[in-house]
Amino acid sequence: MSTGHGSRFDLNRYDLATYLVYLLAVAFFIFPIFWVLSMSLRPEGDVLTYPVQFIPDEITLAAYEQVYGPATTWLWNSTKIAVLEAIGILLVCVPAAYAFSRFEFRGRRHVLFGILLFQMISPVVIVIPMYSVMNTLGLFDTHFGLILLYIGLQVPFSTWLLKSYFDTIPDQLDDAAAIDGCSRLQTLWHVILPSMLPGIAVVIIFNFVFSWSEFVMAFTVLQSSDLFTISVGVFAFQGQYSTSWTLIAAVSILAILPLIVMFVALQRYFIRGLTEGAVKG
Amino acid sequence: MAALDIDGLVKRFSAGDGEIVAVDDVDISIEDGDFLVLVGPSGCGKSTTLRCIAGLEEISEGDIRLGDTSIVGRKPMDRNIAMVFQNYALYPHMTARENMSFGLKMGTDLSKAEIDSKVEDVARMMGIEDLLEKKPRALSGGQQQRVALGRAIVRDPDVFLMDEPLSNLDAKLRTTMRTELQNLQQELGVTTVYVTHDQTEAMTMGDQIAILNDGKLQQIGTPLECYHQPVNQFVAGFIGAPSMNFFDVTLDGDSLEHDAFSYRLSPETLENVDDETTRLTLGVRPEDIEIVDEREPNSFRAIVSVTEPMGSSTHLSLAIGDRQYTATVPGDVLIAPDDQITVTFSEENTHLFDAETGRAVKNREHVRPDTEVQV
Repeated sequence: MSTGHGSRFDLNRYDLATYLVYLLAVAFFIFPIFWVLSMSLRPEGDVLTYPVQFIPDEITLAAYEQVYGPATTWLWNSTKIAVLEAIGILLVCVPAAYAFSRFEFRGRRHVLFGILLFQMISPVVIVIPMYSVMNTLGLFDTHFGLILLYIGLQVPFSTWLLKSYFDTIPDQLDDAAAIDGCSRLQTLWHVILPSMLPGIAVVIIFNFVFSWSEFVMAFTVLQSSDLFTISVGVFAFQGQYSTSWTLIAAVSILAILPLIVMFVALQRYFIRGLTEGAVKG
Repeated sequence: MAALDIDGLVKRFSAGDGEIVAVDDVDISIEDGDFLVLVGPSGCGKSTTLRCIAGLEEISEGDIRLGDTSIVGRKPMDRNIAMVFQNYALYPHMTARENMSFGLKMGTDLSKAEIDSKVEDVARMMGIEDLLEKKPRALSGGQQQRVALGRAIVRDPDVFLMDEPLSNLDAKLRTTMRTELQNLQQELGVTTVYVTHDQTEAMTMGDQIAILNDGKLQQIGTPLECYHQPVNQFVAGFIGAPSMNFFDVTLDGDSLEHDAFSYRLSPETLENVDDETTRLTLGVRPEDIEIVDEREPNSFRAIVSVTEPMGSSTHLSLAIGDRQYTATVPGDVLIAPDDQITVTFSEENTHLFDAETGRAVKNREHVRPDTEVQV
């Protein structure tokens, strides 16, 4: 390694130590994914070989061919639910967060605090009551019911997050829009929302990832296998008496692929939104 | 274009169980085409007054008339008023052109071609034709300011409202823009209300200045009226930089007694002082303090603690008694810290205020209106 000054690759031992720590951290997170990918590409009998083979001798797409049919249905279900949930969240939380950010009204602080309290309740705690509510409303085993549940669960966090972004937009923009002839709604639509697109993107991504990976509620509400989301679908391959690990691995890889693609595509936007909220909010 | 009249304006905000009176019974009349500067310290109610005129705040009491018509209760757009904000309030996702045309698009029936033509005319006037397709983040502070002004002008309003529009600019650009704004206002002849906390802007820009404190109008008049004939100690202290010096004095016979000096008053000045008033505040502008020979009557000793050479003049921080005061002397007078000097001030330039109420008892002579410069 060069020790010359000013070189781009001039690394001292502190840098090396830092990179080593980074490398370990990355390996810690990448390894499980790599392992699942490796399993998904093996023939069924090669999963539990000893000694452990990280790269299988024989690579096959058999597991993918087997899960392709149901997995596409579940991926479509997950996409539909995640998109509709994100839209629903925006419809509910944008006006709420705007009001919390811009209006002074009696009990504002208490309501905000109350919303935060709801966020602290673990979804697992309310699974049974929600099952009962869904049943009573005739929403059991429907995507609509699950979407409503997800929206309900994510409203507190999303409202707080959006409020922090609204707070970063100067009130004077609202005033300028009012003088330019905008109503409150027009101000929100034409001026404020376009000014906080990174924040909106963060909220969409958070919600998309949440509903994509959520298992407990989906597993409770959905019963028909053609309505399963991908996270419930992964579990469906776990049999009572035997489990096909290659199939689970293949469907798991299919489940995380869309998220990885979305993250890579929106990475810049996402980080900009996160840092804006953090710095200004 | 129209005259603007504010009658008995009151604005209250609820705060917890009580309420805060932000603007308290303010009366202001602005002639058509005049430039009025609203000035005062932070929280004095000047921006709230401006927001009430704009329709961004509902007023609690009083009336605001544009020409002969009351505009109270009208939406901001329907008041035909344009406003320039401190941070420019340009829409960040729109280009300069879109920013300038947005108000016309939302509030008028003009066609796109007509809007474009208006925007381009104003852009040419403001020298920002080349910036029209740029977004605010690609513009410097001064350019953003021009776009914000252009956005106000393009609507052809009856009144311009400006809320500290120069305070985000650096000192040099602020001076340039100050002159540009004045020229622009005179060229357009639009009635303008300009809010600032900077008394230099107030003095240099306005046809009239209105000084507010604690929501109350203290004085309204021309800059020189307010400078030379302040109605109270607050106005005297607020207008002028460096600020007026105030000495706590007691009237004893025909002399003002201060801890560090005694100052004899003429019979004419004494006539203005009530017999019962003995506790007074003597006000002297820094530039009215003169360095004199120690034999001069009404003179006293002062120790120079700090000198601030400004070039054409030098500000001296003087220790008189146990307090610090400021004097402004010509820049070619060489004085060093710790020098002992003898100072005085001419009686005709002094101000006297009632120590309890702050009301002006005696002011210096105002510049005579009939004084004309012979060229």
